[in-house]
Amino acid sequence: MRVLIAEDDLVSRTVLRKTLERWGHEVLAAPDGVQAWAAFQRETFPVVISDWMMPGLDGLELVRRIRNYHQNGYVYTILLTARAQKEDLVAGMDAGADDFVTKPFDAAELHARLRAGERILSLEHSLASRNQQLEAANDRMRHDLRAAAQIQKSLLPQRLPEIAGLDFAWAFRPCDELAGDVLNVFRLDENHVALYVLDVSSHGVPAALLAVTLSRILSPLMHQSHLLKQRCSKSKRGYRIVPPREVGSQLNRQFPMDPANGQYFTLLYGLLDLTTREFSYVQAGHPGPALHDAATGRSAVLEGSGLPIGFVEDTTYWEGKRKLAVNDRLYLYSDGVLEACNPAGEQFGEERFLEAIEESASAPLKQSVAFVEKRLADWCGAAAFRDDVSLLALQILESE
Amino acid sequence: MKITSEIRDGIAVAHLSGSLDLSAGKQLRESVDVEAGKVDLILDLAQVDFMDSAGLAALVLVIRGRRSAGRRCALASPTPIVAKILKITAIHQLAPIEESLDAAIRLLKEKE
Repeated sequence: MRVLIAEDDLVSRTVLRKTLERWGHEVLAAPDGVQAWAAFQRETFPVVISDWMMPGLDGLELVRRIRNYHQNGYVYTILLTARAQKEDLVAGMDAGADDFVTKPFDAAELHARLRAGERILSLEHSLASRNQQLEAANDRMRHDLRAAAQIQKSLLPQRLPEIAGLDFAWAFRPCDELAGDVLNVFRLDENHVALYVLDVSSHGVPAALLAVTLSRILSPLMHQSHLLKQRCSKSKRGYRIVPPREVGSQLNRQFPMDPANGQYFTLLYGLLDLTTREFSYVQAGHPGPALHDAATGRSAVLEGSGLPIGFVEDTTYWEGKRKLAVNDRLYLYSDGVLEACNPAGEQFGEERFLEAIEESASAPLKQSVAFVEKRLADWCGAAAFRDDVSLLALQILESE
Repeated sequence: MKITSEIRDGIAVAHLSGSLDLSAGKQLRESVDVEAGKVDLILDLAQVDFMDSAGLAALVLVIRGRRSAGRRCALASPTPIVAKILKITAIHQLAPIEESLDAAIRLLKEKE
């Protein structure tokens, strides 16, 4: 080991240096504190043995400076002292000394104390290298998470469908890097718009993987038969739009809950018929859509309930239907909206949610969604979001 | 979560107390599985002040397990916050939900 000695007495210094060299250490012996400090800043010494009483810069101050000096790895410091009073030891420890050897030193004692120092340094060293490995692993994982989050983000509606007579807006706030919520809105054919919000139970990677799978299954593939729009030779169009309740049962068949991890999801899937303005929807364990009725100026959550997807085999779902009028607004959302808590642990709740919708009814839809989101954020204040927050809204516009 | 069990009128009753979350869910599944699996079961939710998605999954797995063993299961006296989740997720389709423990016991006795 490289050892730095600070000792103003020539005889002591020489004896100390020779003893340490005999034990196989590489030694630099400085004649005072100032030179020792200069050497310490220049080179690396894992062990410093310093006399306490020295002119200029004493051992106590040297140890203090070493402790405040930013460097890699721990430095083990031993103070040589002629005094052995208790208060001196306390002052030495306060300055940061690890150990004390009384002068004139006993070689066997010094040897034992140095070995103790070596043990501590080697522990510190292996701890540091293990920390480094952990940090590297942590960096890799964080990098992977960020990449996964990026993929997930790309699955959110990049552009909202442009449909005459309809307006859309959405807000999405994952509580962790990865989300278990998904939302989307898209056109299925010239007369049908599909929209949904789903919420995979639990968080993290398993939830996000299922969320990504689902967003692929529930996506508009134009030239292919899929869950939402199936090829059908009997139909004049050559396909049929699958009713929401059937979408619910099919997903339920396809995604049974795994008893090992208890993972499942809730879904609100709706279909708007542009010719009749009828909104039909399936509610699978998911809170019902909120409707803002333009005629009355009031908002309410539409009735309905249903088992989450995957809970029970062969579930048949109930389908809700509601005819919309001009300027009516529909809000689909995840339970993260209603269950977001303020610092006192009180939930945002349905009432406050509906109030926010009503209060923003005269603003354009995008601003209304932003207003609801802001209300929610204000409610939570310093409390962190414990769940993903999704909000997807549509409005029937006056036809030209 | 604290779970205490007793047998009342030949029906196993598990009194749950605290937060029904992921770890409580595991605890629930284990303790109830070990319980005499051959009798009907009532989960008394009067002292459950919080339930998350993992807790709900555990509840459903316990109910399903009991049903597949040919036994019945009922839920008793959920707090408003839990009752709301049970309502949205239509758990009544799986197991009756009664406002009191006595009512749940009466219900299971009646159907015998």
